[in-house]
Amino acid sequence: MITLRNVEKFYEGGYGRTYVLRRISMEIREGEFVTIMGPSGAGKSTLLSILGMLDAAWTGEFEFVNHQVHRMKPKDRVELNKKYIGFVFQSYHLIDNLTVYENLDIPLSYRNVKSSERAAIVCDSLDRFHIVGKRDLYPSQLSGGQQQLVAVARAVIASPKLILADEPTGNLHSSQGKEIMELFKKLNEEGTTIVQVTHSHDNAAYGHRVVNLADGWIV
Amino acid sequence: MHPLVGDLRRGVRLWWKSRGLAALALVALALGIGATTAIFSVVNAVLLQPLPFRDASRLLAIFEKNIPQQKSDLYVAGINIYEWRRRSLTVSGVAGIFDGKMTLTGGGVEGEELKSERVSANLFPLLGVQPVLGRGFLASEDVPGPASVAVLSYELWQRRFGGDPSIPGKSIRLRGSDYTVVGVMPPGFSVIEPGVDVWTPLNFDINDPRVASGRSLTAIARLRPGVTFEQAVSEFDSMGASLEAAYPAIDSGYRAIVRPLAEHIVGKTRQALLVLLAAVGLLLGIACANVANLLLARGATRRKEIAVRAALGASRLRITMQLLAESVLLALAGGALGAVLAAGAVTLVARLGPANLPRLAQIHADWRLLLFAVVISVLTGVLFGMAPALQISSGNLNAALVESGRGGTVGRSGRMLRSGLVVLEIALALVVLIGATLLARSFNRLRSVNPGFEASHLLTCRLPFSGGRNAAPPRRVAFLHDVMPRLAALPGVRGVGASNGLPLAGLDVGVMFAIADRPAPPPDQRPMALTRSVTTDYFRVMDIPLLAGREFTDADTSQSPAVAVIDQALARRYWPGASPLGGRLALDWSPPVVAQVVGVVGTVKPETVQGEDWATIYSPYDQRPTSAANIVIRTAGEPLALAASVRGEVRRLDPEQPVGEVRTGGEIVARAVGGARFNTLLLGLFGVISFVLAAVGIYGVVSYDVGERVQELGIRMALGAQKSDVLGLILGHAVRLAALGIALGLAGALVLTRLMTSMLFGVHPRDFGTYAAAAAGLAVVALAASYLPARRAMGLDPIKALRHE
Repeated sequence: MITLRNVEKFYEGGYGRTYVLRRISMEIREGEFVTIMGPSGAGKSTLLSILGMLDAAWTGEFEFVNHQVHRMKPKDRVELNKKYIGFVFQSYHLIDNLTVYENLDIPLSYRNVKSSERAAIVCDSLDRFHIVGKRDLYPSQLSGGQQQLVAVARAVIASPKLILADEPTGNLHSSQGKEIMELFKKLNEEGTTIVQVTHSHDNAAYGHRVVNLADGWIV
Repeated sequence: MHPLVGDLRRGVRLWWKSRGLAALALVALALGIGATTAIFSVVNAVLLQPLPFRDASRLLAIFEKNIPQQKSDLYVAGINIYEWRRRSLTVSGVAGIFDGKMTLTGGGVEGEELKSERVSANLFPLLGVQPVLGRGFLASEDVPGPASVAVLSYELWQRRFGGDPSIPGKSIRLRGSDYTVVGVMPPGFSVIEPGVDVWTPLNFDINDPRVASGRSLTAIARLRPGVTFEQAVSEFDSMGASLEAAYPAIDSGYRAIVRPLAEHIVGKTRQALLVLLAAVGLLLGIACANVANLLLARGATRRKEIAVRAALGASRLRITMQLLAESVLLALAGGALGAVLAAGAVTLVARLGPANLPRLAQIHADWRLLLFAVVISVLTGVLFGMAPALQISSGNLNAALVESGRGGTVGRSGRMLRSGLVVLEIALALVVLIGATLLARSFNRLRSVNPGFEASHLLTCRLPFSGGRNAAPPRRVAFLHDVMPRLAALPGVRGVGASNGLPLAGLDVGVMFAIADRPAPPPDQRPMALTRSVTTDYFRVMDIPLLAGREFTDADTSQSPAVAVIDQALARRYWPGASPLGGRLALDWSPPVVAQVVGVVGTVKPETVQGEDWATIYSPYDQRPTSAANIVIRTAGEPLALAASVRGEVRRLDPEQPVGEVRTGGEIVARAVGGARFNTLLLGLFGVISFVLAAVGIYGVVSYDVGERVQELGIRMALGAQKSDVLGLILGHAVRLAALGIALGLAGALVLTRLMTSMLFGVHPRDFGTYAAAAAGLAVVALAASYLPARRAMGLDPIKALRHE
């Protein structure tokens, strides 16, 4: 599904280049649950952003579901993101002035799904994640765990083949974190590829393999 | 150091740190306060302050109307003033005023034509005004016969006599006769006409039929104590019926028009001033909304800081005091700038205001109004500048801290309030803009009206003949015959003519007439036409087209048969479908004259561009030499460049002959549309200001919105939003605000522009094109103002945006 060859990311500074990622080459097959680990500043989140097409300023080769990402225009990369990828963030990143229902509706609205279909999909999703009772609440009216549940629901609502999760349980207490990780495991078992960034070895245990990063290198 | 001093110092430092925001707020405040104070000052001086006369509200101005001919605001017949004075029980006195001009000569300097008024001896006591020096007129001086006493205006006394305190009793030479100065009026004194230089007694002989019947007077009266205005109107109406019976030859069909004097003086400008006042009121509203918005935005960014201060133990009072100090600082600075702006604007209006703006001399910046505007602005600044403090004090401390910590949005209520303010700004701006556009279109229509003559490359000047050595009619003719060839020989002169009255300069003189070979209507039903005495080349020089027959020639002299050239308006009315050439006009001059029509020329606008056409009868100057002539000179180049040469030629011929009112044709037209231009310029200026303020407002809100939604935009991008989606999101917000504001503004304009009906010429107050253009213009500006922040949003790096706090 994903092949990276010699992917590098760096910033030009006064004393030359500062590398964030160095010669990253890796492969992730469809259906895998991969964990990226490493100390702060190792480049984990940057790698996740590149995989999610959010970061276009890198060098090397990136193949994604038979698409040569490194040769694609930014607009086409966004299309690829829309088609295949769902995101879960550490800080949930729900939109404060939208209700739970409206937050779930956003990814569908960017995928030109008809409004009648969207309503059905959102209602299904609310039901699937047991948050029907929260549909008209705003994020500020939910607990952290509930917010992350909504964030996961939002990430999978457009049926992505790949979920990228950046410290998905970082702001949650252990029982809430466990609940979210069980959810990821279930999604993975249903066929969704998952790449997570985490510091937690417990969370890493839910995945198939671990990729360790240090100072931008795979170690 | 007192905590307040510290707060003020911090306030200065904080504003200095956000200079851009402070500058925007200051500009908005200064424009709002400055414009409002300036216009309030004008309205106060013109409309609100009582006239400078004793118990001015009880003074009346009386004119006459001719009901069958549907002419109103006519001057009053001498006999009627006499009869009203004798018969009326509702007014305690009636004084007559006769407008004129007198030439001041002597003293070894060039003669000067003065604006004069012949007035009844009771006028000054009736008004309750005492001369500052000497006395007014005695009843014994206002008797039939030549006048021999004069009262000077303060300005003339200063200008020509150096404020000589011993002027009473001294003799001056007016219109070739000696007059003894008996008094000097207070500075700025005028009754109806501004700028009068000298007053002399009326000296009407009511037994002279010409004096009794001539409609040449303005009447001023004072209501008796306890009498209402309505009672006076009713009495004058019934007196009209009995005078009609007593003097059928003079008063058939005539009735008095009685108005409060103040209403007569300022009535015509009231509507325009009230519209301008409404416009600046809206402008102040826009400015306040703008400042409120900027301060709300700033307050929102400081919520966390305020929350932290509160969490660290700052009392609500302490925080309130600090924010208050900052807001008051800003408002006071804005007020100071506004005061400077207002003072400048008022001076400008007083100097450059249209000549027909009444009480122009009394306009000055009023500190009470300035204070009013500053207080309004300070209240606005304080109220909205304290929004964060109010929020904290409402117990929302934790929300502020948590919200800020998550880098989330500031909340729906703050956003809604800011959006609401922008909607209000756009709505108000659109109302002002539509008003300004309507006036601009109306002014354009005015300018495109053909006044009947070519105003470019035209120089005019006035030669008053009364009193000097050219006073006798044969001398007037001879002088013109002498001077015109000299002027025509000047380099750069293409043609020279003369007339007693110029287009767009006033109705001037008229005559009752009849068509000689048709049954003559009774005297009261005879039509009236304007009369002009013109030289042979006048029509050619003025570019007034000859439509039929001939112009005057040198053969049309005082010895030859009387001839007339009429204008198209008269020809169409009295010879519809036929040629007037050869027709004969019976003119009620003294003695009566029958003149043969020899030509027809185009109609010229006599008074105002938008005014009605008056039938006009032209006579050869030689046959009817008037007491003043306006020289008209068609020039090859810039007309004013010839002014000195023209004066020089006249002086060479007669050093004592005054030359007055040197103007270009362009100035004459500009003066005729001066009021409309003044209104259009002011409202246009307000339109532009409100346009800019609305644009700044919407830019500020959208820009702030983008800043506030950086993380949200990052999330949306991460969830698949393209740049176009981001653009749509941001512009969509602006479009919704603009659409709502425009809808409200259009509704407001539909109601408010009705007030402008009397100010518009050829444009309906609900002109669809104007509304559409103004709305479209504002929509474009709103979109343009929001495009910049939207572009910034499109360029956001989603990763940075996601990490944004």
